[in-house]
Amino acid sequence: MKMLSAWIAVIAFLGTFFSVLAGVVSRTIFGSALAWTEELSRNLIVVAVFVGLYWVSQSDKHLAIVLPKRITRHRRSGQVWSWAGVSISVVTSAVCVVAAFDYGRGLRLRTPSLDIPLNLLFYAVALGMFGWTLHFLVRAFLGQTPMHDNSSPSKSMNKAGETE
Amino acid sequence: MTVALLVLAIVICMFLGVPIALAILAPSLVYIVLSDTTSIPALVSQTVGGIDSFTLLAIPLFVLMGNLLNASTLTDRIFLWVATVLHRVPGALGYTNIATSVVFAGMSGAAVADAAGLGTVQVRAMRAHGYSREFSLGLTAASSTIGPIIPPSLPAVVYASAAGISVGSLFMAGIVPGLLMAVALAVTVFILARKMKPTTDGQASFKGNAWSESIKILPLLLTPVVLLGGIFGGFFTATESAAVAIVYVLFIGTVVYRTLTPTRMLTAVIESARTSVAIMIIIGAASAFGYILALNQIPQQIVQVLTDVFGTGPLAVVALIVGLLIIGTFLEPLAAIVILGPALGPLAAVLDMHPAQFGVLVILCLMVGLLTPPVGMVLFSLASVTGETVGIVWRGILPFLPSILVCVLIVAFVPPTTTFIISLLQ
Repeated sequence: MKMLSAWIAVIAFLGTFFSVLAGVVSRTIFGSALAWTEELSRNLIVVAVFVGLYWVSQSDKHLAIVLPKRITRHRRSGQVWSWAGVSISVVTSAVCVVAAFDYGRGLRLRTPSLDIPLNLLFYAVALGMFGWTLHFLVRAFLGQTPMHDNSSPSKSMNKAGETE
Repeated sequence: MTVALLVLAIVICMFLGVPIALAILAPSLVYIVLSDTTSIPALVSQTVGGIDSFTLLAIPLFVLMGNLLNASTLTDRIFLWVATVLHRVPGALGYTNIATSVVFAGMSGAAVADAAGLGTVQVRAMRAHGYSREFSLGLTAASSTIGPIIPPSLPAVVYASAAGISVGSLFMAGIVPGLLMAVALAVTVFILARKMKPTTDGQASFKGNAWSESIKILPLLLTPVVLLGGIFGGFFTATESAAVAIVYVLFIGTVVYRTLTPTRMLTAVIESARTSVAIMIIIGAASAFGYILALNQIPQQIVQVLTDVFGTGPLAVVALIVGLLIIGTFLEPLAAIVILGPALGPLAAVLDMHPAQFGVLVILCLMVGLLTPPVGMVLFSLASVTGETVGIVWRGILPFLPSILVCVLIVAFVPPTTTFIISLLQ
């Protein structure tokens, strides 16, 4: 599951780059802009993000606040915190799934030039959220939530944070 | 009141350790379920819509470019080149640290990429030449915040998208403030280094022919020219320019310097994909939350309250700065920009500030949060790559904070610092 999520995300990510590049090359070198490149790149990054969520969570690369060690030193209190997080994740996931299916049934919007059913993106949301929730559930059962594992705070921080 | 509770729930979730994106989304969804102002599909749509933007595609591409530079060890070359050029100056490694960050800032738009990519080599070199641990770590952390100010800048891309202004003009506006930060940090180094009495003795290891080193590094130094030339010249959008710059970095990495192997390339791509996912989902979640704020007319209320209490003069600007510094301390900067961008946009006109000047001010204030606990990503990243504790890094950063705050005030009250380049190039 993790590898599948990772590969889809990486391929979609690379596809985004090549799609943007194709747009630039077609416009600057061949003189005619390809209409679909912009749309394809946008769709691919959405897929990469929502499918890649599971992979990112599993790799502990999601962005989260890690409290100082002394606050979460006790395992029991750590478990309470982590279960609170899991509960919120489950609620989010459930609501997103309902929303995605509801949206899919009600509206089947199609994008202008690529003709991809837009509601697929909403299913991607649901898939990503499910993956994310599963991750938190498993970690809570194993007692390995980021709250416990704060010996190295940066483990749950993103390397390039890139925020900046 | 309900929105205040929503904000409180988000803050609590964040401190429970829930991933930031989920901490924003979950309470927002509960709010939607309990209120009848909008529907759940609309919220999901907003989340997806927040990511589904061609302008924001520049973020993953800038991340990829930064990681490719790191993977091909070209960042180390920048450091060695600057160290060679400045090796005769007393306390040069302090200035080298800053200058390296300025050069790298022209190729990467993220502070954490700077701290993670250059941090190890900068701190190791400074420690080897007798600088204190706190000073080395603090300076490296502080100088890495120049990255998001000097173009290309990830926060600038996000702010431009959220506030509906030109990415190019925001990039132009960031050049002088970024250089100003470098000067302010250099002055701090000058003052602090005098107490340490550094000499040039230990810097002999960097002795070399500055000219030949400069020629060797020239192709690398052209990266910002390729990147920003396309944007400022009006040839490419920021996203397209990032793609072109990636091709250039691939070329110099594989053909010119021959340090970018296929394995390193793959590692950089995987790391970039992972980082991009983590960033973009936060932008999506923040976009959904911003939608709820807009529905409740919170942006207008913020503007109203601020102008009612502090007027539209300098006091309002100072209040805004204090507010942003506090927000930046507790909220991830990109999420803060997505949430606050639409809210603060109208404030620029009220305070009679150029939109780009206002944007740089917002980014600068929020970047200070990268250096402070509990969400200071530069703090954690640097502690991780150098194997030091967060407390030591934080103690090292403290002496450099005043100089950054002085820059914030200069950007706020001296408009030409941001508008000069815009008027020059446009």
